[in-house]
Amino acid sequence: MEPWMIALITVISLLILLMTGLPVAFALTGLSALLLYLFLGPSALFMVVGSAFKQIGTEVFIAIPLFVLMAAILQFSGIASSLYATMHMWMGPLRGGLAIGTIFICAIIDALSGIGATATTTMGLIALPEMLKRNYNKHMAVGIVTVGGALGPLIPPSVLMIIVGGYAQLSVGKLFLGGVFPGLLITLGYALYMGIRCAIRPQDGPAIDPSERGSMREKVASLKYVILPLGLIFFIMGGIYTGIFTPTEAAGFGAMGAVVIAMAYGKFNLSDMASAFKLAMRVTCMIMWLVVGGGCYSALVTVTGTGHLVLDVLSNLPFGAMGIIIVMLGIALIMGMFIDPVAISMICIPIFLPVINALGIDLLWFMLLFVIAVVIGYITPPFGLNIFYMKGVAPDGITIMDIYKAVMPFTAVKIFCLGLCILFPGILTYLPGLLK
Amino acid sequence: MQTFIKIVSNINELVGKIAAFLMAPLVLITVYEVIMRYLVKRPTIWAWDLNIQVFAGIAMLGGGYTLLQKGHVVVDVFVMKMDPRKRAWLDIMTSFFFFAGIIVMILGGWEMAWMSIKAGETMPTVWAPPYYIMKLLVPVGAFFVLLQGVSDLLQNILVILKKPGSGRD
Repeated sequence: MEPWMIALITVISLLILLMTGLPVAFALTGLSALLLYLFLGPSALFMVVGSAFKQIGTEVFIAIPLFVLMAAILQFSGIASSLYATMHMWMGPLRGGLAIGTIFICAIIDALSGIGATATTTMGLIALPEMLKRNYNKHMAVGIVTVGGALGPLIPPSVLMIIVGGYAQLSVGKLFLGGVFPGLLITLGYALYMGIRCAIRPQDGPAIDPSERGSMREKVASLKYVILPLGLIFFIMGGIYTGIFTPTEAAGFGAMGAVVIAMAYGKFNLSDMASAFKLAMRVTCMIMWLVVGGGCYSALVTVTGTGHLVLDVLSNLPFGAMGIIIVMLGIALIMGMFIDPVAISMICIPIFLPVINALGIDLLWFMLLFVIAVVIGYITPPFGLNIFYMKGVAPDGITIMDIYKAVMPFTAVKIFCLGLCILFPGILTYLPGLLK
Repeated sequence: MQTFIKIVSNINELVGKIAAFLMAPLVLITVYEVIMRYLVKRPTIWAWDLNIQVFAGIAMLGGGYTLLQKGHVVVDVFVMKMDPRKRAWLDIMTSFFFFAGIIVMILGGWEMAWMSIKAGETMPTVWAPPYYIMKLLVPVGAFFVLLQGVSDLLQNILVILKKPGSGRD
């Protein structure tokens, strides 16, 4: 068979199989096994087992269950409501202050959680009803809680980055540091957008009633709630940055730290802990079976030469290296509207990697761009994950159409920031460059 | 068929519980190792060797439970509004790919583990524990996924056998 035929079959058959609703992990494993057998014979089947074993033996992946466990514990630790109470006092008197404060709290929770669900599900229950009660614009309030959590996989720690790092053999510590600036940039972008919006249309975010505003003493006293979470963030990121911890070890301490915080807030109990274990295990299995499937598919793409063929096609496009980067990010963005980000990574990275290497593009920079692009997929209709997390916790009367409409301006902000990161690579590469 | 489906879900619930509680040693071993390294200045040689095995246990053994809980990522954009009976037919057809991959993992994984047992292979590390436990986890984990896959297949057959219009599950 012609090589281009094989390449075409390798890519197209996967896309068709995915559309049938077979779990992505098993579509990847099964298809890879069948095609390896067809193209190369029975001896190639060992590659399936070999890559499965290689993936579960990748040490950095141990950080995945640990970070998910940390997020699951923080969910019931009472951290979100304590942070909200502090923010309410400080930011409430400003126009749009509760919404702007909510995005900052989301950013803090994102810096403690490696997944996209934590901030949206906690703040959706705490901040959203408060904002709606105070006549905040419905779409702005719903939007900010939905998109605030979706920064979780971009602001370190990030489970998605661990997967990308383990898979593309990049330093997870460097990826984490690379996520700091774009995460802050997008957070500030959201805050700025809402600040301007509420300055022009004060009815979108009315200031809270003077009777509700605390005294200066109460305000200062409330700051104590911020100490523990910020302390844990600096402990984790500082440990990784100075090289005291590997990201995996930081994750272990993070999970332990989350338990300490839950105890400090008096929210620790064994039944919640057991459900946190279960959740962490389930998310880990979901991810690792996908990674195993991705490993098999990657073997298939490599041995059949599909990667090189994609490279040929892309490098014949008349756009130059920058154009190819934008095409690849565009593919990730569009897939993000329909497919889970981890699954996109498993499908795209094996195909993109040879292209990046051949074009001499900085792999770290590209993978960070790729992470931002797929993270946008968490909030894009129709199938952004955070839209569904939001729907799950939203009060009655908030329809899925409301959420679709709500995320639009925030998606625009995020795409604008992605553009900035393409134009100014330093945003992504400066911090990782400091790490030896 | 109903009994088989019930038994398989009970098995995977139980195995899932075991996998979930492996999270505790994973955290404790990680923290213990860092404390030994910095506070006691005596890093262990076994912590990471043991931890990677615990991790592999969580990841492989929980696969069947995750399938039971419908926790694996699915692209359901195109099939969401499908008639349940047609969806069941489609799932039965695509299960061919599922079984192909899983059976390769079981047979190949068993061969890999058996060779390791026969050769008395140890991990390429200082502590050098036997390697076969981790290798055995691949076919064993895949086996629990297979059980759940067969159970789901039977469930789809039941959907088709049911009178038209009575809905899924």
